[in-house]
Amino acid sequence: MIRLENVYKIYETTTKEHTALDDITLHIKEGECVLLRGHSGSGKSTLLSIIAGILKPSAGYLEVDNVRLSKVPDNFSTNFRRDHIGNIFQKYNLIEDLSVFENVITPLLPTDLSFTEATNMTIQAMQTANILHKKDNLAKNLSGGEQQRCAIARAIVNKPKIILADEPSANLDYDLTMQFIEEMDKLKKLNKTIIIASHDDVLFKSNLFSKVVMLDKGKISDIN
Amino acid sequence: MNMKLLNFCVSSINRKKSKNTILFFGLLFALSLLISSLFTAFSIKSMVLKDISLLPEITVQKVVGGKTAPIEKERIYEIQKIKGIGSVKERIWGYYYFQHRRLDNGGVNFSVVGIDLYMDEYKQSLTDLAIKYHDTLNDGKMILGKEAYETIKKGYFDDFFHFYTPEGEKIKLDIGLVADELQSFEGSSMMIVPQDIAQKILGVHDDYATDIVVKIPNDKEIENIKTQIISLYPDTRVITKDDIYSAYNAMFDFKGGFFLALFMMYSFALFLLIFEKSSGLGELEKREIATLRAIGWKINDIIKIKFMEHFILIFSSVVSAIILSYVIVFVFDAPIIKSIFFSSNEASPPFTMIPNIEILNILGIIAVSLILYLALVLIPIWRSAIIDPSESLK
Repeated sequence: MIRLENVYKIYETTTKEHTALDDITLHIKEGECVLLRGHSGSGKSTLLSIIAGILKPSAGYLEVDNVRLSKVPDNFSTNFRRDHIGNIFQKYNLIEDLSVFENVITPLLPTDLSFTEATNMTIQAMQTANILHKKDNLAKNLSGGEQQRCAIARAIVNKPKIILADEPSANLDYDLTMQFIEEMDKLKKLNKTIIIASHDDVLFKSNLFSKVVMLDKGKISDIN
Repeated sequence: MNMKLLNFCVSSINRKKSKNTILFFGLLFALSLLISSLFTAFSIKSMVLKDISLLPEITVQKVVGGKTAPIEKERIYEIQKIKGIGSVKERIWGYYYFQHRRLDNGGVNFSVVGIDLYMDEYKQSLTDLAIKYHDTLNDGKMILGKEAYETIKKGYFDDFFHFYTPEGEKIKLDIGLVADELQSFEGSSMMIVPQDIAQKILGVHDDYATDIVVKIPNDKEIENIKTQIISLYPDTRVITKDDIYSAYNAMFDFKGGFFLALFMMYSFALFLLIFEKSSGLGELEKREIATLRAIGWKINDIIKIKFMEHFILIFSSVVSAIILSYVIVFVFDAPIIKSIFFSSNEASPPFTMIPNIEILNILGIIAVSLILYLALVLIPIWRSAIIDPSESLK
């Protein structure tokens, strides 16, 4: 499903170079739930961005769902992300002045889907994420848990095979983190491939993950 | 057209209601100021040009001590001998100052003309007018331009008007009719009276005229004939229609400078905003763009939606500004703006703006507004959209 071979990501400035990912080789199978663990600056977010096609690796081979993402142009990787990947961000990044419905439908707007098709998919995603009852509420008026479910609904609205989440529990209390784990567990049962980057112990101790990848200074230090 | 994107765009305008309302009214104010000034200029220019088109090819005036003086009618016969001249006639005209406490400036100058003497020397429109109202003039009544009539009415003159000659004699003249045809800048303040009465009112003696007008069939002869008249009578000033046209043009070029300055200020203000905004968007807007990029929107999609959003805003501002300017200038008669062209102590009667719009100039303003404004918003959006969205999301 996801194959990284000797992937490097080097950020260059005029005066120095910073290696964010250093020779990463990782294979993730379809339906696997993977935790990327490591301290701040260990390269977790960079690795997620590379898998999502937001960033290009400086060197190495990247294949996601049989597409060699390391070599495709930006427009292609954007389309790929739109059709195959769902993103959940650290602070959810909902558009505050839009309603839940409008936030969730956003990834489908630039597609060729008709408005009716897009609406049906949006309703389905909101149902799955248990936020349909709040569809007309503005994102800024939602509680933390509701924002989380709205972000999950937006991540799954395009029926992606892969869901990526970057530090999803960073701003959550214990209860909400547990709730998030439950939501991910539901998606796991739908055979979604889930990759979560986090250094949260609550997530680490959960039974959600089939694989835990330890990152340290851009390198994989351990895989369990 | 992707209707889903259009819906999103409308919703986006709606959710930034306060900001967009301020922008809309700001643009509306700036554009209305500019466009209504232009409408005023176009209208006055067209009225002035209409006046010039009525003039004869050459007007001969006598100059004494640097000022114009009545000219001897006998000079007509000498001028007529010059080859290439169609006809030569004397003309009686001048300004009559009417003062009354009910007038805004305390008094106004009317153009008084004695039509039966020179009507052939005018272009077709005034000749037609004279023929049309021949009976009125024959009855010893006068024809008034609309504004002239409105002005004397303020002095309680409804059916007649009292003129005072330089000798102090009072002449009562009945108003024959108010001619709608006299719509130009000069024409609307015109009083057309029988020639002998015009002579009395203006204090021009029988053997004299105000000036002599010369009709020349071939335009190419005008300069040559002008030279010959000056040689014949060195104390005369010979004015061609082109001279008058140039004088008016110079005046409007000067006034045009005012609009240019306004337009430059407007453009410069927009340019400064572009410069200031191109350095970056607000954090919230950057995050929104980054989020859209991260969830699968292409740079094109983002530019497209922001373009639509701002195009709706600027286009509605421009169209509203054009409509508002039209109402200000041609319905409310350009209050304030008109006084920029004519200082308040100028003793000309009030006049009404006649709609005349130069489409090319208006299109120019629309184009510059659209280009500058869209650049103002799209450059920073493009700059935000092309950077790595993961940076903005952190």
